[in-house]
Amino acid sequence: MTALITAVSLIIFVIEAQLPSLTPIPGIKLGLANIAVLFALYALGPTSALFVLVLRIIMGGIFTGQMMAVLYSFAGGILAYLIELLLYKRLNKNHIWVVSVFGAIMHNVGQILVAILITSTVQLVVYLPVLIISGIITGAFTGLCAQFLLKRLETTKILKQ
Amino acid sequence: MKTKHWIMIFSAILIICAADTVFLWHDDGEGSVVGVFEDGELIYSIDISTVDEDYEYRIETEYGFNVLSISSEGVSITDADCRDRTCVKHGRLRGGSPIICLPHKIVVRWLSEDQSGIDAVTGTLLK
Repeated sequence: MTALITAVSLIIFVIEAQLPSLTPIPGIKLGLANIAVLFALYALGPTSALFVLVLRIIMGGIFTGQMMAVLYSFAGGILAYLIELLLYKRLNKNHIWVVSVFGAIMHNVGQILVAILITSTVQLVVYLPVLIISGIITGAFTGLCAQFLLKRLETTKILKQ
Repeated sequence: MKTKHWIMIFSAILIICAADTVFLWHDDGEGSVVGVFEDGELIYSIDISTVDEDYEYRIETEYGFNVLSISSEGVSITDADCRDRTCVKHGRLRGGSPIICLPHKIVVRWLSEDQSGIDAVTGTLLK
């Protein structure tokens, strides 16, 4: 089941990577592949979600031919995962979107931190507000998707816990 | 916490960030000296108020090139061979946000008073 979700996450990631960047700001994207991670977190548990995340990042980098971006993805992804791990038990299934927003914000924070380290430019921190806005909006969207997905699939009993 | 409380919290954060962004992006200048940094090191600087004729400065890094167009009005990156060309799409350098090319580790920003201790007329840098 985890492998299936990982594959779906990877496909979403690769397709989204083909879309041109929406804004001139580096790192702003929908992050739709994270719907799978959140879904796995609530449906299958933290180990499963971590598996989905790490494998998708690595293989996503290989498939899109952008290994450099893998570093940024890890920074953002792991930070997001950690905060989602912290929150998912405290927030029920109707608030997955909230967890997702925190995750998205932390993801973007992680990316800025790595960018600042790599380019040795503290000034990049001016992009933080914009990335927070992006995090809130995209996080809410992907979180809601995961939420609805979970709701639908629960009734079909595909996920026997 | 109830859903609507979360919505209020995030909306508040969103508005604060939006206000901050608008404020930063329209803050149009801290002087007229622009600095170009590669991997954190200043490699070029120019006081645009001294520029008579528009010209181009070609930045070559081990990862690729960026072309910086310089005029007395401002600077912008007009060409680059990086994948997403974020730097080109950035447009003219604004007060708050630097022009960045992450793959090439290039940052173009205004230099504050104490940083611009260079021969601004000829654009050579201090080292």
